[in-house]
Amino acid sequence: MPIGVRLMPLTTHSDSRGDLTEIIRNEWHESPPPVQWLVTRSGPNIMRGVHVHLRNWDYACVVAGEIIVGLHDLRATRPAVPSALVRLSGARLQALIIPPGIAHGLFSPGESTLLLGASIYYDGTDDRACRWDSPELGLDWPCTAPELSARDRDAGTYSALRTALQTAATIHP
Amino acid sequence: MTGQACHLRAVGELSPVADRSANFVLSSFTSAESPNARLPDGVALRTLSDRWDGAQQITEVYRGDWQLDVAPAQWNFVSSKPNTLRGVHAHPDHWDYLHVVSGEMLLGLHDLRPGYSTFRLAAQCHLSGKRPVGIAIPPGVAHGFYFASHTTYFYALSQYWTSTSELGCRWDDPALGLSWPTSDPLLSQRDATASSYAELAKGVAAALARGSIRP
Repeated sequence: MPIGVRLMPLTTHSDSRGDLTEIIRNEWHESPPPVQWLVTRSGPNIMRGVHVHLRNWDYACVVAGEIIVGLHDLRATRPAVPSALVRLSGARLQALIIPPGIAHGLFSPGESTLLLGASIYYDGTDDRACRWDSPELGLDWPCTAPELSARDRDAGTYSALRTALQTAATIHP
Repeated sequence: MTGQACHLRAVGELSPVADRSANFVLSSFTSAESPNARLPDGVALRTLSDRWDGAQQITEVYRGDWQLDVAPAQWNFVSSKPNTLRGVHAHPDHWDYLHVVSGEMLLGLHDLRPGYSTFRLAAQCHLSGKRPVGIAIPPGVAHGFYFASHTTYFYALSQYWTSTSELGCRWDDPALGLSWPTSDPLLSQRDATASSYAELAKGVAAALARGSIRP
């Protein structure tokens, strides 16, 4: 896992009625707490990304289905761990914390529901993107032709993203 | 403290009276059965917007810059089996803000804050994952959740959860003025053996007098 990415098991308390899981207590983390929450629902074979934030920390928890998260460190030229794939499943809840500068793509093989917290308000200025299948990402995705948003389909190359990051405002972890 | 507790009850499809600019409702909602139904003071309902990004549906559930009195300290995710009832509970010190992710919740509210204009007001409404809303519930407003089918919800607490931060009473105490579509729901042991409405009302009034309720 790239340095600074945190995958945290969550404790689910079950009884005859169902179950309850604490997704976040702000005191758990030194990273900034989410100020905004989205719930996203994806159908089968949907990819979102690859995106990277300059300032935002993402806090992700899959609560139904599963999502494969691809991670790639763009903060240094030769990071110790450049890339990783992480599987999040609604069958066993985990929290994934993604710092600024870590590029990430989210692939939903089937129906899935994701809780996504953001540490700053989304205004479109904080995101940069590249093609999900750029070979330099080093991500061995379990898909070949996922469904993409128009923006992700038209995203530029990995090297263009590197250049954009060099000229953009500094990444603030 | 018992009797005549139900000044009003409205069970219906939730249809918030929205200020178009803010898309935000304070203490006001209508239902098919009771067009003038009210919610306890400070209960805030917000209709949430869905958008599509490609083939992905995105619901904005919460923003810290919305005009809500809830500053979340923690968020929980809860899954309930069919015929489950959670509650009735009231918190002396924290707000809840909740959003139904999938399924449907029948929410029952009852205002236990003496001195408030909506003291002893009871209200019920359906919250569905298909028409997403967020609802904020102040301290001192008792609430119960009933799930006819499998339902999940995501909720924030304005303080860290502790077992002492919840007071409760029997879900079927008639003084609540809440009608539930079941006579034998799945309950936790604590909820099954909870005290009476009168005891809960006393507990909330005492907490209010101590100043631990800050709505």
